[in-house]
Amino acid sequence: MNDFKNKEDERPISPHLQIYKPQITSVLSISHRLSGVFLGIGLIFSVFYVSFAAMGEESYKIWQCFTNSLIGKGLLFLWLLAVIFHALNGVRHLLWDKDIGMSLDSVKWSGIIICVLSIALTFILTILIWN
Amino acid sequence: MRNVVTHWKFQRYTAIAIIPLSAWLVYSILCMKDYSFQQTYNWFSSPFNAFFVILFFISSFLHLKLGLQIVVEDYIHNVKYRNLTILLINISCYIFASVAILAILFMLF
Repeated sequence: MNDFKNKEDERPISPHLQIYKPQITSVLSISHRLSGVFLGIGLIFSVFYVSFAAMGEESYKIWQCFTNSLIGKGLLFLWLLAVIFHALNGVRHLLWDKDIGMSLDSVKWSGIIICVLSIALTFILTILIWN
Repeated sequence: MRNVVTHWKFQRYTAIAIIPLSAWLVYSILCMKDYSFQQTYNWFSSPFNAFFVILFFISSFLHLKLGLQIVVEDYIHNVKYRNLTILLINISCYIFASVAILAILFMLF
C-alpha cells in the first residue's frame, strides 16, 4: 500500500512536458505561460517605477540608473518581446473561445504567424526605442 | 474567485481590457523615453493618463492573479500547499495593485 502511494507521488505532473515530443502547439502553450509569469514580474517592477516616480526626483534617479544599466535594458527588451507575444497569442486564445481557427491546420499556421509577427514587432520597436 | 465560470469569464474580460491598454502604454513609454523627472511626473498628473494607468494596473493584476492560480493548480498537487500558494498570490496582487494606485493618486493630487 505504501509502495503504491510512493509510485503515485512520482508520476509526472500535469502538462507532461518531459514525455511529449515538442510541437508548435505545446511549445506555444508553455511559452504563453512562461511569458505570462515573466510579465507578472515585470508588472511588479512597474509598480516600483510609479512608486519611485511618486517619491520624488532623488528616488526617480535611482530608478533611471537601473533602466539605463545593461541588465535593465536587457530586461526591458525581454519584457517587450514577452508582452507582444503574450498579447498576440492571447488573441489566438480569444478567437478559439469563439470557435474561430480551431482546425489543426489553422492552429499550426496562426502559431507560426504570431511567432514571426512578435519577433518582427519587437525588432522594430527596439530600433525605435534605442534609435 | 471560487466560481470556475466567473474565473474563466474574468480572465477573458481582463484580457480584452489589457490589449488596448498595454498597446497605449508601450506607445507612451516609447514617447517618454527621454523625459526628465518633471515631465514624467506631469504625464502621470494628467487625469486622463492617471485614469487609464490605474485601469491598466487593476485589470493586469486581476489577470495575473487568475493566470497564476491556473498555473499553480496544474503544478502543485498537494492541496494544502496549493491553497497556501494561491492565498499568497492573491494577497501579493492586492498589495502591489494598491501600492500602484496610491502612487498614481499621489502624483495626480
